[in-house]
Order: sequence, then C-alpha cells, then structure tokens
Amino acid sequence: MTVALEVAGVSVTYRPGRDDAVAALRDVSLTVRRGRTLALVGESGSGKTTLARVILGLERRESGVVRVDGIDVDADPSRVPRDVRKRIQPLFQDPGASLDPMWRMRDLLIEAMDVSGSVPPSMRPARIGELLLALGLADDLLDRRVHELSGGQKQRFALARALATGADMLVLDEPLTALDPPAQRAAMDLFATLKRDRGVTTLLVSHDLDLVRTAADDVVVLYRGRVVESGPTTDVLGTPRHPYTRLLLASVMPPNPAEARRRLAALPEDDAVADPVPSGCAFAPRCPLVVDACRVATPDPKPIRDGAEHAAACPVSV
Amino acid sequence: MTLLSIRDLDVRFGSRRVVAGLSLDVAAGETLALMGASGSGKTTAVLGVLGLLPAQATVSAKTATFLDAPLLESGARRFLGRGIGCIFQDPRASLAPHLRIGAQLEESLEIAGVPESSRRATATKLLEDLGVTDPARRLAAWPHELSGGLCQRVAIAMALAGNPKLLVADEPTTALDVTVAAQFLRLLSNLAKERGLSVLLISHDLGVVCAVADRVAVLHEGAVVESGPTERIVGAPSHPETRRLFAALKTESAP
Repeated sequence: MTVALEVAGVSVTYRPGRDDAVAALRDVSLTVRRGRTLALVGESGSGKTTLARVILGLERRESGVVRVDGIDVDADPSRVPRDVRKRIQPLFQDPGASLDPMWRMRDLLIEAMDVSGSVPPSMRPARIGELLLALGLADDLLDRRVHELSGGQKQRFALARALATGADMLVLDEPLTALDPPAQRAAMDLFATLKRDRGVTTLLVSHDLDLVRTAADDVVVLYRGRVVESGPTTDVLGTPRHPYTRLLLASVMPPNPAEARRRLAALPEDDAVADPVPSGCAFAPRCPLVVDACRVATPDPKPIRDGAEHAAACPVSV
Repeated sequence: MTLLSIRDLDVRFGSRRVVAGLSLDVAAGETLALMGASGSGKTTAVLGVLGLLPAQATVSAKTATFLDAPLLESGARRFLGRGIGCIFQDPRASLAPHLRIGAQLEESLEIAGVPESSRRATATKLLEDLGVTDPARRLAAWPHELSGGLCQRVAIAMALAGNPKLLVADEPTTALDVTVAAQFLRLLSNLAKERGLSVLLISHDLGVVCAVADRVAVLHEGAVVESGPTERIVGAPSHPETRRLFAALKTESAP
C-alpha cells in the first residue's frame, strides 16, 4: 500500500523563556498509508497536538521531514507542487470556531473552492450538492450562518469546507469532544463513510481510546514527545507491550461495577507530575518494569518480533 | 444514618421549571452518583440545594436537610467549607491564579476555623495524606506551575480542609487525563472508606460511576426516575429513561 503521509525524525523544542527549553517532540517518525486512519494517542503534554500542527505546517520544527506522496512539503518551492500542502486539511476541536460567523455556509464552501482553485465556477453548484449528500447535510442549511447550526452540523460544514478545497487527507484533533453523545455517534459513522467511500486518509488525534479502537487502523502512542509504541490498532490496544500503553488501558474504567472496582484496586500508585523529562526513558520514573539501563539510554521503537508492524520502545518488554 | 435528605425539590428560573420534585437521600459513608442526560437538572439541583444558584433562581422543597439541619431556610452556604466540601470539573478554575497554593489552602482552613498557628502544618498534612510528594514545594507554587492532577489534589485538599462529612463532586474527572482520572477515583474511593466520607458524585461517565458509586440515581426532566444499588441499576435498569441513557453512554464508550 502506498504511503500518503510520512513524518521522519521530527523534533520540536519550545523556548518559553530565555533559558528554558521544553522538548515537545523528539525524533518522531510515522507513516500513514493511503486511505487509512492513523491515531495519535497520548495525554496532555505528550506532543500529539504539536505533531499535528507540524504536519499542517503550523509549527516550526528544528529537524525532520514531512512528506506527502513522497514529496518533501518544505523543499524548494520551485520543485514542490503548490497544492501538496493544501491536500491536508484540519478539523479542530471546536468546529464552529473555524467557520466565519458573518458568512452563510454556501459562501464559505464557495470561498474554499475559490481560494484553492479546486473546482471551476461552473462545476461548483454540483460539487456543493455532492458534498452535502456525502456529509448528510440538508440543502436549506446552506443559507444559514454558524450560530444557526447544531454542534454536529457545524462539524459537518467544517468537514465539507475541508473537502471542498480538494483535500484528500484530514487531520482530526479530538473531533468528538465538543459533541453530545448522539452527535458523537453520528460523527463516527460519518468518518467511517468518508474513509470507505472517498478513500480519505486521516490522522486522528485523540486521547479517547474507545474512539481510537473503533475508528483507527493504526495507532502511534506518544509519551512526553517520543513514540513509545506503534502498530495496527488491534495489536497495540489488544496486546500492548509498552508499560505506558498498558497503564493507559488499565486506567479506563469499564461500564461494569465489579470489573471497574477490580481495575481501580489493581492500579499502581502513580504520581504523574510534570517535572523535567529525565534522561533515558521518560517513563522510567513511573514504570513498574524499570531497570537501571532504562535511566541511561533512551530506547528506540523496535518490532516486537522480526518483520512485525507492531513496535515498542521498551527493551524490558520487547 | 441519613446525612443529606431532600424531598420534592423544585428549582425555577422564571416560568421554567428545571428541577421538578426531586427527592434523594445520601447516607453516611455512601457514594451516590447522580446521572442523567445534559439538561436533566443534575448540576442545577445540587447547586440549588447548596445555595449556589444566582438570585433569579427560585429554590423550594418540602424538606431539605443536612444532618437534620434545614438547608434552604437558613442558607446552605454556612455548611460550605465545613460540613460540606465541593470540587468541580476544572480544578484550575477553583484556584485563584494570583495566590500561591499555600495561601489558598490556608484560607480554606481559616474558614474551617483552624487557628492561624497550625494552618501551615495542617495544609502540609492534608497534601501528604492525598499522596502529594514534596508538599512544602507545592505550597510555595503558583497554580500555573502545577499539573492538572496536582491541581485536582489541591482542590480536594481545600474541600477537605473543613473536615466535611459530605463531598460534592461535579464531573471531577472530565478535565483530567485518563491515568490522572483513574488515580483521582482511587483517591476518592479510599477517602470514602478511610474517613467514612459521603460523596455526591455528578457524572455522565458510566465507567467512573461503576468504579466508585454505591448507589445511582438517574434524573430525567428534573426528577429522579430510578435509583438503587449501582450493580442493580447498571445491570438491570428498569426505567425506560435509564435504559435510553445507558444505551447512549455505552455506545459512546464502547461502540
């Protein structure tokens, strides 16, 4: 399968003060194959949103490459097709915030086509009709402004606008957080439809493991700026190898009293403080399997067996 | 022993009746979870009983008592920070950004009537009991220097400063990362066990409720439609609204 999106060796450091340096991402690499959904999983401070912003060209990185269909998006502009970057479009957490409150939905869609040059004017009405159908939106909503839409409708128009530019890759940042449960279910169905019918390639940023389990083909788990585990979703979430991935899964309480209480009682004592990242493995201070070597060298992700796609950055458990 | 007892609570905003005949009891040492869809009146009911709603709200009840003392007539606020402690969704929002953690915790202790000479030591002890490492350093810190999990522990410490019998927790894990949320739940369940603390938990997370609640009360349109032990309500819900709610929540968490 062809690789649609590739991130190789990306590092980002924030400098909040003159003498401060916070490594937000360290040597992160991943690939998303065409038509697949890859989820970036991790907690606050893991770097998942920073990585999404790097891919969207919104964040300055100090090293590393982002490639779309094998083309370095930041290479010499004379050699990079102008539309490469535009093929990736974001959908942010609050979809309403990315829709201009003064504009009617129809004009927002037309503008997206106009700016991107994706659809010639004569084709636009047909294209809009097709997008509305694909996203399950009624025609009469085109004359509304954003305050007249529900949360689910806002998100659908934000998606319609992204697709109207001709994008075939989406970056979804916590796409369910702003929606109530019924709208969440509808949104998940919609993402599945976009993938199946339009072959949209998706990078999903989420800390919601249940959403990831349902929506993603592959998963990359980030911890304090590094990839700790990656591979097919069924492997990573079904048989996690890295102690951090295991802790994440053990921390989700199931909707069953006996099982939830058992899980709560079995939780290790854990004080996840935001102190500076230690040398060696960043998870070492919290890790139940820690050995001396973990505090010295930073482990790289390694396949759990020869040729496996499932990889984990833990010399103790791999 | 019944700690909190409410019969026929009504909360109106003008002609709009948001809470309509709600009744519930919280026994000493028990954790009761209030569940219900958005808009079912969970938070309004609790804020109404505690006297924390804006003046436009009309709150009435046949009876509303805390430790047999009337809540509504004499004002529930006198119990806040003493018999009743509260924690809310966003722990950072409960902390004043311009005051060090120590000053805020000591203020809670002052309200609770702890003499000034022993406040610093009590504050240190409170944080230690909640598993906060290096409490002296945390007391000297500003809120923005603490992680979300630490802020939530400080918020709990402030709520526990008055040695309350009842802790009201409104969606306390929603703003937390999953591992931090799990640690918080463990802490909450230990506090209930070790101190005999009662907890009134508002949550729409079925996993959270299953992990810590002894009983569940389900709200619909401002009244309790079903209540009982967690195992029974979650395992065999009988009211259609309860089934509808759980179906929505389960699809959300495990589609």
